[in-house]
Amino acid sequence: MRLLKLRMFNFRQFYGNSEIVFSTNSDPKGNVIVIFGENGRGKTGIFRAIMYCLFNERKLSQDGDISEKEIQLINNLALEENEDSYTDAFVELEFVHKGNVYVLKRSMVGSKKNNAVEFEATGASLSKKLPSGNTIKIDTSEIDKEIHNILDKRVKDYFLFDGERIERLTRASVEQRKEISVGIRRLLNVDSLEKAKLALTILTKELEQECAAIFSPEYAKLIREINKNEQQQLENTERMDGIEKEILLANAEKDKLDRELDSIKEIRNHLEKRKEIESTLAAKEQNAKELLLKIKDYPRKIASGIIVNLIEDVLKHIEGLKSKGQLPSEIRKDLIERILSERTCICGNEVEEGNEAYTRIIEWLNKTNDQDVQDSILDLWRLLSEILSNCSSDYDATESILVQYSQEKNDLEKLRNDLEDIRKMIGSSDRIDAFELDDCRKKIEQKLINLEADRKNAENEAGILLSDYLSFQLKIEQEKKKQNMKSEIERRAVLARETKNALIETHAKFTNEIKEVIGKYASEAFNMLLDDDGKEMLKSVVVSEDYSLQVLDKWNRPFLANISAGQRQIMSIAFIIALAKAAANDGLLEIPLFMDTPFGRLSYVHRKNLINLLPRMASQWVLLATDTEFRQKEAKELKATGAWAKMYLLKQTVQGNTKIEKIDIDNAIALLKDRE
Amino acid sequence: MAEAIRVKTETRYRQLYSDLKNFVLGDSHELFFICTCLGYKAKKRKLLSGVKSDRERFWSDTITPKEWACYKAIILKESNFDLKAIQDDKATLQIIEEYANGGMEILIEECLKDYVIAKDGALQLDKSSSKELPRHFLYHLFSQIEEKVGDTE
Repeated sequence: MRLLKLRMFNFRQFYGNSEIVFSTNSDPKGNVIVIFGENGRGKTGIFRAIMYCLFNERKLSQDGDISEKEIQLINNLALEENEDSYTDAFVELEFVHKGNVYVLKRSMVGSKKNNAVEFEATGASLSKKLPSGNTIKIDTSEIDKEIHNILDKRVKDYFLFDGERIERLTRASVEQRKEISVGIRRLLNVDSLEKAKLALTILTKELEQECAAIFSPEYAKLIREINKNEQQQLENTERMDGIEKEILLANAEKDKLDRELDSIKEIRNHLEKRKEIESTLAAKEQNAKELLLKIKDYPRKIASGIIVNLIEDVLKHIEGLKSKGQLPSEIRKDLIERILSERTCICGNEVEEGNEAYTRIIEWLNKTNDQDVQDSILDLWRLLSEILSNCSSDYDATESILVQYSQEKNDLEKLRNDLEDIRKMIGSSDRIDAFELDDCRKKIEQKLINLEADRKNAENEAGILLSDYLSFQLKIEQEKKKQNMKSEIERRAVLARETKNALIETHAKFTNEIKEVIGKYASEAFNMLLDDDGKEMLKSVVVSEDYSLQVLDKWNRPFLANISAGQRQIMSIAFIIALAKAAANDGLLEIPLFMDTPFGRLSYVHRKNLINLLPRMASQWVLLATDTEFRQKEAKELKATGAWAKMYLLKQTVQGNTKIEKIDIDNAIALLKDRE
Repeated sequence: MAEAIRVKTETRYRQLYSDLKNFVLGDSHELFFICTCLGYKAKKRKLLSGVKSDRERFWSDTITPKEWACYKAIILKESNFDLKAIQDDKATLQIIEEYANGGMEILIEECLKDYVIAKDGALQLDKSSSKELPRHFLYHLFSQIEEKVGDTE
């Protein structure tokens, strides 16, 4: 099959009429077509148009979980121009297969009302022009069958390899194993074989149950057990399928979270910083609060400092009294009072009112205080001295707590400003908390670990069940011999079981063979694509028992973990080429191969090798490329292969639609970037 | 000390005493002491006014010995060092109450005026704006301390 021409009318980004001529029937002139455009210009839209035209399917495998209804095929501008009315659109594909030229057209109509788009496929037509020149119109009801005979619908997804699928194949994961096993199963077309396996299992079971009803209890018991074992094996397989599906879903969720986390990486740093500041702020606030509580103990300590001059004056006065001997009194007041009442001094002299001794004693009496007064003045002196001696340390302690509090307040102010700045940088306070995403991711990682453990358990159980099954089979044989049981039912049961086992063996053998073939083709392509250093170190690609891809080094040791991202991409592309080659039975793949941005991580040597290899692998190679990966160097290399037939440029128009412009190859090279 | 005496302040300070207690300082006698020191420093004695029955604020036995020492120092100085003048607690407190009353006016004017509101002639703390008052209060007292205290080292 070779594509000749694609015509589109109001399809996706392509407003009005658009056309791409891939090749002409009479003069092919090379089989490589480059469709060049920035992301979002409609490169995948062209592939979608071809797939829709051939298989009447709106959805591609890379659309993932998006529902078919959400995929709008009719051009938006055209819909808006005809608002409240209907807009026609169509895709028409002309291709050649085994000398016959086919023209397939699918029409549709759509309308847009209140932003809701209605879509309806309105019909399809297929004409077939024979080499004789006669044209046959294929009946509408026969179109799908005719197309299926040219190209099996089940392998349609293997026409297009986009960057994402190539990337998926590079990962040593369940997704990779699933992708590879699906690819191989579709190539083998093993669906009917699997149906036959199931039918024989049911038949064997029925026949053996009949046998069990006829023969000995021991034999019947063995039959029951082997049937039970088969049921368990079936359930275990279903369980394993369920686990695989869950692993796929968990991995998809993990990837989604990684993308989200990546997009808010900068915000995460801010959030971490915010968390740190918030925690310091909380500690500082607590500290300031405690300091404020402590502060209330200080006023009473320093208040006496306000009247320190008074305290000093009073102390000075009391100390003066002390130094004069008036405090405490040198002569006790009660003694003086006794002398005055007895009128005799302790020296024996008489004390008479008016004499000198009397006058002196009265003077003493006036200077002398009561014991209570003296005691209280001495107490006062002691307390004031104590106050004065503590004044300085209380002053210092107060100054220190005020400085400390003021420092805390300054720190708090600064932290609040920092926090405000970070909040401004984060943008909005209700932004998704990245830490929640981190938590989700951790949970998914844990779930994946558990699922992997479940898978291992299920695999172990499968092994045990199989070994039990073989042992039951042996016992049944022995029992049969013992009882010399031969009957028609038993013979039929034996035959059914043997056929079933043979079928299982064939299936396994067939699968292994195709794995080997794909491994062989992938190794050949891998070696052609690798640069000299890679060739020196790496030997081959193998599809492992569990469908994962592995690279072996020159000593046949697994080496996948050590190869570069570019080499992994080469390995993925080699696998794709191997699939195509296996599908074409080692010949030229009779389907056009679309590759969307395949050069992503490749070095120039790898790109060069790919450019030289691919035109030889498929009937047509449509390279969908952007300006960062298809530069002058790659273009010159492609031109040198002599396989480059055409180049189209997808240009944005004023209204945001895409216009397809054919460019002469020589002019195209001049338009391209000369470096990345 | 002898028998406990009721220490008085002006009626209009009743709520303010209650609001400042346990917030910017400890008990009522501490505020009374601070007011006395401020009043004495400014030589401002003021007779108590307002309803007599609502003047009693706290018991004299809560006054600490050091506070008593300061009160007596004031009385000694006032009485030109008549040692007998400090023997009468009641008379001492009467004079001290007047200094404390004068001191409270100064304190309100210089430190508390932004934090208090008058309600029916009585003063009370505006708690909505008083979060930082303990620091402000201490700082104000600190700034009132005689310079020589800070210079002693």
